[in-house]
Amino acid sequence: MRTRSDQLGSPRLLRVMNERLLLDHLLVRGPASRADLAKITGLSKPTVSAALAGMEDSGLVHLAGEVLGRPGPVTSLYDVTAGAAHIGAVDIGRDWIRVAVADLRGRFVGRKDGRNAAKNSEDLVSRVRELAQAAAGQAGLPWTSVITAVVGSPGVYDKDADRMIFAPNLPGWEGSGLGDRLRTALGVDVTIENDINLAALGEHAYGAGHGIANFALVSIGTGVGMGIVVNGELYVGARGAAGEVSFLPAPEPVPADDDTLRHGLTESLAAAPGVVRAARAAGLHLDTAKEVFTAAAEGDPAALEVVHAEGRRIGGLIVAVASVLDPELVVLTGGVGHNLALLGDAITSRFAELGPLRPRVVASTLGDSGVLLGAVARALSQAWDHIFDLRQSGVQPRQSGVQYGMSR
Amino acid sequence: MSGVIGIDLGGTKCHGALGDAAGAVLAEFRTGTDVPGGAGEVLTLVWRRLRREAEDRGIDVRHATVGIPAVFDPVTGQASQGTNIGWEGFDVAAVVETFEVPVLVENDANLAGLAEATAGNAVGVPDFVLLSLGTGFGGALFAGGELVRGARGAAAEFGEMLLADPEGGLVRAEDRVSGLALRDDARKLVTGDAGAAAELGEVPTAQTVIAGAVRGERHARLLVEEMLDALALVVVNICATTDPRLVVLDGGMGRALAPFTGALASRVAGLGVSSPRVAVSSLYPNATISGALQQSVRYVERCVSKANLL
Repeated sequence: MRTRSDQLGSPRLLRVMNERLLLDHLLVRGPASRADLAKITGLSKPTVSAALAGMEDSGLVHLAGEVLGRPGPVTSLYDVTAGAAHIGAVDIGRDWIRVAVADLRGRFVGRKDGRNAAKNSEDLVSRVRELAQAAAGQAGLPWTSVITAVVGSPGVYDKDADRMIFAPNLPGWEGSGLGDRLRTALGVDVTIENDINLAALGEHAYGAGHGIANFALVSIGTGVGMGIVVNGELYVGARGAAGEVSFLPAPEPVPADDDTLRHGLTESLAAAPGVVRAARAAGLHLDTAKEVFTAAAEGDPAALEVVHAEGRRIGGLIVAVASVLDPELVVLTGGVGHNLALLGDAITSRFAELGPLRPRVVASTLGDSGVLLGAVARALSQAWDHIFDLRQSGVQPRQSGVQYGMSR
Repeated sequence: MSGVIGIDLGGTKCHGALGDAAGAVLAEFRTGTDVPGGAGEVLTLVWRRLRREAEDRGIDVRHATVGIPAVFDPVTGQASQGTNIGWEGFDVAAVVETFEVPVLVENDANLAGLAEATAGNAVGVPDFVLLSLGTGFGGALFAGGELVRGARGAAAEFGEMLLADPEGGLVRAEDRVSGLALRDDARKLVTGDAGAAAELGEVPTAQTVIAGAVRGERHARLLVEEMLDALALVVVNICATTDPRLVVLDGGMGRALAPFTGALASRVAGLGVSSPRVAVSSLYPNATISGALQQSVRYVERCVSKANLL
C-alpha cells in the first residue's frame, strides 16, 4: 500500500529523519547494534545499515566495539561520535564569568571560570572571548571547533533592539548591539538567553526537575529571578519577562528610592544586599550574605533571626508564584537560595501559615554549573537541528573538526 | 437535528444554554442557586429545563458541558477549592451521571479561556490570562497557546493569591476582589455611615455599587477604586510570574467593570514590569457558556467523524 509519505517526502528527507531517529536512540541508550536499533525503531535492517553507513561517512557515528562469544556472526556496536562537533556554554554573572565547551553528548570537555571585573560591555565581551579560548584550549581544541554557543545573562534579551533590559547589575549591558558584539568576538552563532531560564532548563535536563512537567526554579543571589517549566517546556512569557519576580509587590515596607524601583521591591528585600542590610540593622558587622549564613550555621542568634526572616520572605514568594502556576516542585538556587538547610524551617512554617496546597521545595544539586548545563541543553538541541538541516540540504561535510560550522 | 447544552454553575446563579449542532444559542435558562438542595439541585433543574426546550424543538441533545467555579478532580469526580459556596467535596460526578448523555465537567474559567482563545479577545494571542470575576474570583492561564493546569489543577486560581492587607498582614485576593467582597464592604460601610447609606441604599449589592461608581457617586467610586487597587496587585503578581500580553475580564462582575479597564491598566502600568492589554469578554451569553457549548460541539463532531471512518 502506498502511504502519503511516499508521495510527499523526498528520499533524502526520509533518510535524514531515519538518521535522526537512530541517533536519538544512540544518545539516550548508548552503543547499540544494527539489530537492536531495527527492533527499537521498527525500521528494516537494511534501512538501519544504510543510515548508519551514511552517518559513519560523515563522522557522526562510529563502530564502538564488537560483541563476541555469542553464537552466530560477530555483532558490531555503533555509538555517537561525541567529538564530531562541540558547543559553547557561557554564564555571565555579576561576580563570575564561566565558559564551558561540551561535546555532542553534552559532556564538559573544557571549563574556565574567571572573575567578572569588567567596567563596561566591551571589557566584558573580550573577557568572555579569553575564557572561551582558554576553555577550548583545556580540551585541546581550537575554539573554532565550536559550532554554536548559548550565552546566559541576567536580564531579558530584546532581540529586535539587540540589547538586554532589566540587567541593572551589569555595567553597560543594556546598550544595543550586544548580540552582534558577542557573535563577532566568539566567531560563532550566539544565542542569548536569560540566565535563570537556562538554569531551569539545566534542572529540567540534568537536575532536580528531570521528568517533571510543572516546576519553577527560584534563584536568590545578587538578584532574584525565576525560571518556569510548564507543560514540560521552558516558558518565558509573551515578551520574555516571565519569572521576573524581583518586581513582585513586597508585603513589607521598603524604602521607595530609585535603586529599589530599578531592582524591584522583592529583589531589594530578598536578594543578597537585602540580607546584608538586615544583618547590619540587627547589629552584625558582616559584609556579605555568605558571612551571614556562615554566622547562622555557627549558631549566632542575630544571624539566625535574619536567616529566619529571609526564609519567611522566600516562603511568601513561593506562595505568590504557586497561586499562578501551581508547580509540583520549586528548586532553590543562588548564593542565598542554596542554603535550604538553614532556610527550610522558616519556608515551611510560612507555608503552614498561608494555606494547605504548597509545592515541594528542594535545593539545586547542580552547584555553580546550573546555568552552563542549561546553556548546553539549549545549544545541543540547536546543534543537532543544524547538523540535520545540513544533511537534509545535501551538504556532505568532510571529516574534520569544523565540518558543521554554522553560518552567522 | 442534534444539539448540545452548556451550563455555567456559579456561586449565586446557574445559567445554561441550549445550542444547535454548531453551538449557536437557541434558548437560555437562568436561576439563582439559593435553594434548598443547593448547587446539585439547581444544576439538575437547569439541565431538565433546557432538555425540555430541546424536546420542544425536536432537538436530540448529544452532549453537555458543565463549568464549575472550583477545581474538578477527574479521579474522585469531586470539586475542591470552591471556597465561596461550600463546594469542597461537592460530588458533581454523581449529579451529572443522571443526565443520560456524556457530560464534561471543567473549571468555569478554563472553559471561558478556551472560548476566548478560539472565538474571543485572545484569538491570535497565545499568552494571556482570563480573570473570572463573579461571586468569587477564578482564572485561566494560557502559555504559548496552551492551557496551564499546574501540578494539581490549581494553576490560575487567582482568588487564592495572597495580597498585602493595607491594615497589615495578608489577605486572600478573593476576600478583596469578588462580588461577595464588594457587597460585604459596601454593607459594612452603610451600617456605620448615614451618608453612605443614603447613597448606596440599605442593602447594596455588587451590581448596585458598580452602577453607582459608573454614575460617579462618591462612596461607590471609593469602594470600586479600592477593589481596583487590589485587582491591580493581582495582575502585577501574574505579570511578574508569567508575562501575559492580554488580560481578559469575564464573569458578571468582570463584565460590569468594563468602564474601569483603563483605570485598571494604568494602575498596573504604575506597578509592573510589563503592561498587558486589558479587555472585557464580549462572548455571548458569557465566555464560560460559550466555551462549554464549544467543547460539547467538538465532542459531538469527533464522534461523528469517528462514526464516518468506521
